[in-house]
Amino acid sequence: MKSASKRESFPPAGQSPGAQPASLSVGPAVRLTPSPEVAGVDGSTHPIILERVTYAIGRKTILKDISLAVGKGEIYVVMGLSGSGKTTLLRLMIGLAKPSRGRVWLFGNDTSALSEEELNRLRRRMGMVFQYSALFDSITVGRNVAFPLREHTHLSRAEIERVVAQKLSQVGLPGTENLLPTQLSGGMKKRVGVARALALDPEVMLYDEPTSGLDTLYGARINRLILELRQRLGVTSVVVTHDPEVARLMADCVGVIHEGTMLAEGTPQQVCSSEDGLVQQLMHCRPEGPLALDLLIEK
Amino acid sequence: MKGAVLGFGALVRDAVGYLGHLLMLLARTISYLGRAQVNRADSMTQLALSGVNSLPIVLITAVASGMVLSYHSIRSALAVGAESLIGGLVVVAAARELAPVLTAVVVAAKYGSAVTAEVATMTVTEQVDALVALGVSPIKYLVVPRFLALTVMLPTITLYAIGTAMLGGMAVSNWMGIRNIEYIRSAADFLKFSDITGGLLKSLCFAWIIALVSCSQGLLVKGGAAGVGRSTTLSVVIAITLIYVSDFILTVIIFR
Repeated sequence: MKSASKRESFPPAGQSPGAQPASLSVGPAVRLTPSPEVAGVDGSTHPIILERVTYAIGRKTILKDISLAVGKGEIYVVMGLSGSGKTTLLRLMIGLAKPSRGRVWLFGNDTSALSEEELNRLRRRMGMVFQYSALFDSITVGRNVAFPLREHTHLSRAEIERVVAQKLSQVGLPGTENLLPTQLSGGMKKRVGVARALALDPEVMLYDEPTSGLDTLYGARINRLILELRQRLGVTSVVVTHDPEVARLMADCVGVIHEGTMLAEGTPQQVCSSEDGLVQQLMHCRPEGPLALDLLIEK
Repeated sequence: MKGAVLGFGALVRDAVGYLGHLLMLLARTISYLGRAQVNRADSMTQLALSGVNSLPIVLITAVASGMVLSYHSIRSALAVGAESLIGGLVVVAAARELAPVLTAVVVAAKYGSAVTAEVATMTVTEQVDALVALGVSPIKYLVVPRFLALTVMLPTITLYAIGTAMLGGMAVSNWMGIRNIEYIRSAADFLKFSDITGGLLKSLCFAWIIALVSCSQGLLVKGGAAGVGRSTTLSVVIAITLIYVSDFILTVIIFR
């Protein structure tokens, strides 16, 4: 185990919180708002910071030189096509993957300098909603939602049951405690996944396509829940989606990723009015544009 | 020729790397056990699955092996008038070798494969990632209960297997004209306490091999349903191979 004195904080010791880390640079992205190195970031105001992160599997590079900082209480929406590296970005944020280059900072801690147990303590302050729910299929819905409470708290059984009922009601699934995940539809599973991620009242929530597979009504309900969590509890959220409407509705900041590269970052208005043709095409769902041209050329 | 040498070199490198991975997993598992971080409910379930559910097939294997060993031994012994040695021969062979190895192989095939399939399915459906995201170590949650269950249950059912093999041998001896009292007296004369403890020590090592290989294959799985199938098969092959290799080494060390 690494000693606490060896652990670095962001910014490194001796550097004032507002100072700019020299290694944090823009990379190839088209920055539309002040980027972290311009604005000055530190762990107390930005729970998640990615510093020039590259992620590769073998020879295939999934993410290239990504830098971003998610501010406290902010809703950061990551937009992009399927296979652009959005989910990998979330996995890096919660430590499910380790960057090939660059650093990930969680709550001011450089994750590369943390032991697994120290990282687990930070993960308890976060919740993640998986694209395909990832519910534990051998236990009931109630036990799925209760799982983090049983593992990390000393609440009594009655208190756990009360929290489980409350979280399931929040996602529109009251009274489903005794059902097995196999008895649920895809959309219901996703909502149980949201309830489980919310069980410990995390400071940061990561959502991987939270509304895909949901009908319009429940999709809107989940979107409203994300907004309410920010308004009522100041929860920071990172939402991965391919739906520009979600970005326009809730984002404080939008990052557009294409082929592992951050194309643009800024407020929804700024990104939507970007002059980059590819960004325009992704944000306005236009079939015509540079991407279609690329595909035609490949054919 | 060069290609074959390179291929063999890669195989050795992979094997050494995998053994290193198993040792790391063992160290981390023991570290959780040392801190008493054990999921009691799941450990109880695994005790039942690894022990009680495996017992019938283990006993069938043991009784059949004891009977066959006894039959062959008696045919040879009768030729030289050494039938008074039969009880001792069967019991010592069962305690030192047959029961620990056959029990381990049966449990690796039955319980080990089930563990790999279960953990691998959890891995490919992101349930293991969900555990990590919830701040729970998959080693603590998945490996420790299975490791603990096998550590307790494999030596226990090996004891049952020794007894059953002895009874199977006695039944065949009786059928072939050797009185039960003679068989039991011979067994008592030859069997030493160290034969049983040596056999149980082997069984303990085999338990750790099965637990670590089956869990690691589940956690290292790549791909979807096909990957789960591959990992499950590979888990049984690796576990049985390591059981045979370690059996020889342990025999030389324990029964010098």
